[in-house]
Amino acid sequence: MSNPSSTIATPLATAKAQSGKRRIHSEDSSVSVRKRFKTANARHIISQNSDQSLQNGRIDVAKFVRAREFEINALSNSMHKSKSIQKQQTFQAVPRALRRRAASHHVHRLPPRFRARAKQELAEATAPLVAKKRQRITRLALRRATALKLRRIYRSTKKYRARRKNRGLMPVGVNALASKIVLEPKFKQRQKGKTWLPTHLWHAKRAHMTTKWGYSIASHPNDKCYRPTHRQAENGRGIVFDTSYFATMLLRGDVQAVYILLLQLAQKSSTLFGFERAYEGPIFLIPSNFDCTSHYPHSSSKDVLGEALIYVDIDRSNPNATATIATAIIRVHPAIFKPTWSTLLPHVLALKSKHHSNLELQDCRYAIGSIDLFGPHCLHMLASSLEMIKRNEDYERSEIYTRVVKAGDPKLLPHGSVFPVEYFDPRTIPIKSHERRKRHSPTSLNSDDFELLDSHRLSLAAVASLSPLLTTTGRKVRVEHSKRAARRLKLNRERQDKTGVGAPAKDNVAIPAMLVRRANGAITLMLPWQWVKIFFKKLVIPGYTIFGGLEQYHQIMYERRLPFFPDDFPGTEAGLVAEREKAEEREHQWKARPRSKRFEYSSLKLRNGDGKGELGRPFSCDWSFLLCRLVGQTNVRPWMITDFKKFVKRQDNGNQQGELLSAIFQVGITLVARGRPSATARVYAIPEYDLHRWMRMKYDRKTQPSTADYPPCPRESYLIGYITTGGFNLKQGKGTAIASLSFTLTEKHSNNFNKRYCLVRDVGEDIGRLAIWEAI
Amino acid sequence: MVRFKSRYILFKIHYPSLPIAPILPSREQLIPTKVEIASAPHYYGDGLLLPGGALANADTQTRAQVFYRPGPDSINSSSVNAAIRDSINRCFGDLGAGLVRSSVSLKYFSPATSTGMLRVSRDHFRIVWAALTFLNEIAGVPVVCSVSHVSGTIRKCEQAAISIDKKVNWEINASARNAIDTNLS
Repeated sequence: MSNPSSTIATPLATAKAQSGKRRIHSEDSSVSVRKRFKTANARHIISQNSDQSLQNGRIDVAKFVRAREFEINALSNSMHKSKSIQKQQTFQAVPRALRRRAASHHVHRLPPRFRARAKQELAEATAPLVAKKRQRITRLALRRATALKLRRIYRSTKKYRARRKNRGLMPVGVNALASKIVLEPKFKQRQKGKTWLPTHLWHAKRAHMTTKWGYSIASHPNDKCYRPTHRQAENGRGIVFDTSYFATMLLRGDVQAVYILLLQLAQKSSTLFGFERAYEGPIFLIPSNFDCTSHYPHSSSKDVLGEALIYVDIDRSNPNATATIATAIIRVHPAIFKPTWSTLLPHVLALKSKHHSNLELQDCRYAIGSIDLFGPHCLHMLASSLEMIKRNEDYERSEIYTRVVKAGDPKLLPHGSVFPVEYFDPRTIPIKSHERRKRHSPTSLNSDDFELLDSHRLSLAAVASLSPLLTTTGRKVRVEHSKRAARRLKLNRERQDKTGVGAPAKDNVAIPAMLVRRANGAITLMLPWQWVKIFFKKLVIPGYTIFGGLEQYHQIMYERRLPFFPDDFPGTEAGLVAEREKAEEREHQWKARPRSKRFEYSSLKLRNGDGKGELGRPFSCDWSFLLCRLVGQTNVRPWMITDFKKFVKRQDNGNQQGELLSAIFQVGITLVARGRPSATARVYAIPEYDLHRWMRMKYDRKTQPSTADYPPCPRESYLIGYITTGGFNLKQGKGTAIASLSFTLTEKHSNNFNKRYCLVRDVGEDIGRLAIWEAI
Repeated sequence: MVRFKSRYILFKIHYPSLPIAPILPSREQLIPTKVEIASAPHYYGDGLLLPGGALANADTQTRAQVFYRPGPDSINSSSVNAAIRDSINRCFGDLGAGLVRSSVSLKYFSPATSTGMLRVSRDHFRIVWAALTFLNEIAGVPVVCSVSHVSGTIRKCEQAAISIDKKVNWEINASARNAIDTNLS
């Protein structure tokens, strides 16, 4: 066809052309010469002579096109070659997230697909690395040997053997708090003041850890991941979190008793807790004078504890039983576990002593762990990493599960839907990495699938049996060493080959789990505590989903315009504590800076008639400052309005005007033009005299904030609230924030909540920016 | 330590006075006879493509063929190299030539597509660009050089060259596509 002729003649190139091979027949065939040749070869772009497309003075169109295609090809090749030349060593070619410092001399630190190449490169290296010989005769070695002997002796005692019998049972406290567990006995000392999550060691190597609420939780991965988090949660394969720190309680007993307590806890007046859906919403303190026999809850909306996930599983497997047993999972944030527990337990004991003797409250904090998954393909990733056990009698359940994972995106499932599942040991499922890597189409569900999902779920609910995850015996699935688990797989395979039956063999473990579709678009996979580590690794390690820490969870919630507990709940005790901690941190950082390099808040000029200085304490959302004018006290604790619409209509007669003075409600704020609000920013209402100037700002983008045309910041009396989380929202493409506004002040200034424009001013800034608020 | 920065110039060479007789793709399979070649309309130069010229209303395909034609054999990388240095000398004298001498180099040139990539140091690339503009003859053939893309890395120049090639191919196949569309509809 065409003869590629090199137009840049180098001696090496001609040698290559002559020999036809890439070997240099010279005496000095060292690595450096080869490398030089390789580089020169890469940087040289092959081109064509013109006689390929021009013949007899006329243009042959086909050849014309082909000449251009040849050029495209040659350029692409040169780009590709020069890029791969730069990667001199294998460990430099490894993706950033998988790089390890020791990988350059330790081949097994690399992902499997790079190991062969790296081994070869190590062999080629001029100075071969020899492992240091370790001196075995040291004090450390003696201590180790002694420890081994002691361990052997201890393992022969009765006490140890008795404990080993109950290995599979993670501690559950019945009507009493559970005792903490320590999963890695080698690191018992480090777990003294805190609890480690099952995946602690994995996260510790890859993320920055913090101690919060008694748990050691990853706060953010070691690499920068703001945009990858956003991408994976919105378009990508998914982001995975270990959320085992969420406290789970089981309330088990007669259906009526359970419902009475739950309705009071959530302050719902109707039976909102069906058995098909999980309830996600605010829970309240149960007042001590609560009358268990009354059917209508005493509503006092002031005592919001926080958010909870509640799901009631009714055991209908035995239709002849006299009383229906219901088990309710109550899943709360660890910051509010203690208050929830102490508010529920006395009433449980009271009810128990009266008529419902089988009522009990179990503390399952260390028995049930969970993994949260976000992302439009996260269910696909779940399906490719885990395999469900399909029992013949549970045909409908497996049908539903198949549909669920086909959906791919949790947002396609109804809010609060719960799917109990049993999984095979994921270590025994051999899945090719290319299957995990393949890109899934958005969703493969069609309308028939949706109908099937709906109808089956309702029919399943009618014959529901208690999910094994909720029973102590059901969770009693031991974790074996991975080598043993692999051996089990091998035996099963051989057995299946012999008998030709696809049913699971008897000694296969069945791990009970529950999938819950959360309101924030996540899937929560609840598992027995000791299995969380294995499932988590299977979901993250192939590298196609990423993991995140607390900050990433916060970011995803923020991008979806949802408040994140506890940061965005200043009306709760937990929220105030979190706010106080952050304010201390900010103040500490500010004080650490030299005076010349930091901003002096006391000298802030707002040019609006108020004196110099920032309003309230500059490092926090100063609720006392905002509300003390209304209430008349100096230290005001705000309380959160959960049902905003109800309060606007004033249907709730229980609260008087006085109580409403310190009420606040959550809003989402969107900036109209530029601006990137941050936490603690002040929110103002727009004064009437300046309204027209600010409304002009909607369209007029040319007026710069520094000019005199730009309207000044309103005075202190127009302050209505603070921003709790803010930033630039990558999903919305503009600055947004979650804020809390004072109910009475907003009502006064916004003409009964009809005017929804407001102004946002960061702490330390002297100008405000136009924004819109919306109650959430 | 200051890094040495360079600019990569992607340029195309046009031949305003070379004759070409484009052949429509429908006649690709047939080998035209000498008579057909002689009687086919010969276009001289892409100046005709300008408004007022004979080919001003030509279709996209003809325009592309005339504007992006390949060059004669005498124009190869060495002659282009020599011509550029000569032009720098003529336009900017000894000073100009000396400024850019060590840093200017022709990284790629393809006579088949008349495309080339020059590498110049960042401080003096405008000299070379201007010299290219004033370059009107290479190896005896009157030419016009146009610069399509300037960037700091050769990679971006290569990407630009690829996108231009794709665009040209698209235009070349325009009438064929139209024919197919009309046949199908």
